[in-house]
Amino acid sequence: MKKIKIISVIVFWLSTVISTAFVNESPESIPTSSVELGEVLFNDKILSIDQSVSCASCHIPDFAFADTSSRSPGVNNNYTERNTPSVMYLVDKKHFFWDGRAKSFEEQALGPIASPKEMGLPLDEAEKRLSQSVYYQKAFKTVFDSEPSLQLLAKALGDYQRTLQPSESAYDKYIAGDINALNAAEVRGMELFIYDANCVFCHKEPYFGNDEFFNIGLFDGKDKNDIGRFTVTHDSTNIGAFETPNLRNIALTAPYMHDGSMKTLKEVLEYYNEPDKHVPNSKNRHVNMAPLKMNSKHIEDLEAFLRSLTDNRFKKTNVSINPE
Amino acid sequence: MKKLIVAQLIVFYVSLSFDLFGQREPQVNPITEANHWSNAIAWNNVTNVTKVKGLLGRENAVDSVVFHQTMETISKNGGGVLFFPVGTYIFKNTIMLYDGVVLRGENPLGVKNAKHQSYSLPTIFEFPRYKPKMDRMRADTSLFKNVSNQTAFKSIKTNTRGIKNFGLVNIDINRAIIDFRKKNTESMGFRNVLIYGIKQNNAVVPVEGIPTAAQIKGGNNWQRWTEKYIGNINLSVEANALVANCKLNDNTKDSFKQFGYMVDDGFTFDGSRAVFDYINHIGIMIEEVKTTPSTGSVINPTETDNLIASNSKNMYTNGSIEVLNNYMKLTEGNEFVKSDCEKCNVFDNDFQTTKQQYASSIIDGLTPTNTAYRTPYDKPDEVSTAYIHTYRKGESLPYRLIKPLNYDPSKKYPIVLYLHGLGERGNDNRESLRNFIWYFNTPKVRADYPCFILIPQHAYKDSTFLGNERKEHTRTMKAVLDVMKKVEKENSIDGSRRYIVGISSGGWATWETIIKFPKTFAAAVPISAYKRFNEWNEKDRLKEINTIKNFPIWAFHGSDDEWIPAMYARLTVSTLKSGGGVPKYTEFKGVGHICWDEIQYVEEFLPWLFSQKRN
Repeated sequence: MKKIKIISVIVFWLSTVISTAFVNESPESIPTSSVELGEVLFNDKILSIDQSVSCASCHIPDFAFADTSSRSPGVNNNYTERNTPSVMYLVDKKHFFWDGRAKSFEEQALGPIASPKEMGLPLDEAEKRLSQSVYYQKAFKTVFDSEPSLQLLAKALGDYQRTLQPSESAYDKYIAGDINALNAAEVRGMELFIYDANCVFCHKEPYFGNDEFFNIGLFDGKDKNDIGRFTVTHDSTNIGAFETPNLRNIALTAPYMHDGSMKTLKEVLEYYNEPDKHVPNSKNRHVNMAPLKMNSKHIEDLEAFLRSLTDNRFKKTNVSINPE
Repeated sequence: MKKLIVAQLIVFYVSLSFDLFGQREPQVNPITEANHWSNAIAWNNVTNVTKVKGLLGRENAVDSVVFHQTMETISKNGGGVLFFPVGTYIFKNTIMLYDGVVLRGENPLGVKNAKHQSYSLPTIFEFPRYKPKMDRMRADTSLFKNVSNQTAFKSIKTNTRGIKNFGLVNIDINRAIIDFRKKNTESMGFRNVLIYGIKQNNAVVPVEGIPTAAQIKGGNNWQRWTEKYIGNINLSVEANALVANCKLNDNTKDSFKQFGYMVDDGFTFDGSRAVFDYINHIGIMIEEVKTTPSTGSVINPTETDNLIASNSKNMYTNGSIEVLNNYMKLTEGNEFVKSDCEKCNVFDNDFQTTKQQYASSIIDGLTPTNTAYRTPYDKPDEVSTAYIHTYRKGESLPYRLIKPLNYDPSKKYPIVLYLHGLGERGNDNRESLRNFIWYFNTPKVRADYPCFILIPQHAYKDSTFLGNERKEHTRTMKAVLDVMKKVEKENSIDGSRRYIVGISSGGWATWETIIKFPKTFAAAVPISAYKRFNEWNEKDRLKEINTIKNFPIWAFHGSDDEWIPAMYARLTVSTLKSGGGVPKYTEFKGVGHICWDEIQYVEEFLPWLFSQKRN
């Protein structure tokens, strides 16, 4: 009898050791909602082939869920082909990625996991890893009453990303009636944004985007040869067209454009001011991309307005960091 | 009672089959009940679409010709399953099913019960989306391509009479209805239809005949109206149908506001009051099949003899119709399962209703619910008197005057100057009565707030009350003020209670007028408009701001204004506030440019307006 007791104690001890060894792969507490589970998955390196990167490695929460390099490092010393966009404020979108090839949050969520240049993990392998993890077995059981699966992985990641829209910038306070939330330069910038520079034509509220695709002149068929939306639609009017990015938290997501070719907001604004000066032989550029004829003070004001779109929670982020 | 038992048996077998087979193999009948009619489907003859040459193009675009040929071949060889492995398949055309062919997708990987919230399917059929070309898009039509009915609103159906043993299993269908109805009240002789484990979203058809000729003539050829009486799934079968474990409309997102929706009489409405709602219709419709099969029917006559007894509801004597274990979400006020057959078994379905996002102002896409807004326009001469004022070299200003109810010249009345928008310009002296002015003309308002209403019409279509140049306060506006003086001379009007109300470009003129003539009016109501204060000269800018900062202003705007983004109005108002002003501002959430019809629900508005008085 005593023997059995000792054995059972040992078995119990062993099982605890073993189970904690497994659980240690991941955070301790079991999420209770799809959003919480999504956040855990978003930050878990288990979803890359060599367990070196997570979603959050490129979509860095402190940098408005984008990163600071023009192309982001993936597994096996690869780099992404385009600049990492922020994954905030995407709820109303019908197209995802710079070329709009994904049509839903869920579809978007799995893309980078499988992409050999990003996380490089074949999707069936991803599903297998989650299914073999005691932690994720428990978590999926708790949240979905189901085994881990790709669909549920995508759902959890999607549900988490849907929560990333706090709308708590100085601009939001201003439109809610707090006229002191923006300073004079920011208000002047807002006026330029909607009148003289007509940014609002494409960058529409509430997220300052429009979920459409335009060629803004960063395609010349030579050095700049990413054909963008054309790869999806095969419509020649889409050559060199990319999705209009949302401008919320734009101050944090340098460098800019689909190719990360512009290091600062000022550079972007100077480009819009005189597109031909920066990319002389662009092809298929949209007719509305006319020079803005702004002076340097206008550009400063516009930049000030764009900075007012930064959410309060990111105030601490060191935005002076030099990209690359 | 027997019905119930049979239904429960099926439910039991269905759930059992999941556990036994794990549902991974496309050759397995999802219903394992021994004597179930669905065993007649050739489950073992599976064709994988990825193995059929030329069927799939780039991005899994389905070649319609090869796809239908493949189904035909399967059908000729005794029927079977056409299997679509994990993936999104792009269809440009309606799918026509063949005798004995079941389209089947990969089985659900997670939860197998469609009623569970995380039920999802890895095989997706994607049909074209309808993209309306609305008002806001007229500005630059090259940016937006129209998709007409011909390229959107697809369905999965068949034109072949008398087919049987066909259906759909485990497919997530986006933007197509399932339509196995009779044709022109005549039975198509369908039998053994299986619809199992389907997800379906954005499934709708538009009402035939909308847009009407008048609506097209008015430039609104893009507008559509939801057909309420065609459902997600529509069946009229002569024997045997099972719709089970389906999830309908849990994630329908295509509904859109029709900004500037035009009813047949030419009046336009705000988008929030005219939503094309993708789930404002029946869920599953099972129609009774009429008695005589057509002569062209290929049904075996001996079978049909049993099936069809004249004038009876016992259409399904040889089989059963079951609607089991489905989840459905619809806009409230719609029928989930509309069946008129006695033999229908409808059990264990979960139904959820959702509120219509905005109250609709239009019935069937044709008739407005409330017709009060038409009165001034329909009976212009009963309501008001028409005049023409001539100024300068033969230029004319048509205008109308509405007198107070029971006008008593011994009393002094306030006057409302109403400036219309761009669309109402002209010299017919009637178009100006189209919009917001109807509200001031309703019996209650006329009784509670007796006043004069002056309605000028800008006669020239190449300019507005403000002229082409922003700076120039045009002669039209001066003529308007002259007319107002004249009206005041001839009638008993309280000069300290003049109110200026303008919509759209008339709202723009309202802002400019109170800056130019700050002492004329007691209050201003600019609607769906903005004012940009002088951007060239800081001194002039301050002067403009200081002129009107303490002026009683109540501005209105729609947060989703498709013509003038709300940012413009917000900036105007907050610039005034920053200068120490106290303008009132109301933004209607979710409402577009035609926001003025919402003002009738702002209770404080009229008391506020008519209490304003100049010292």
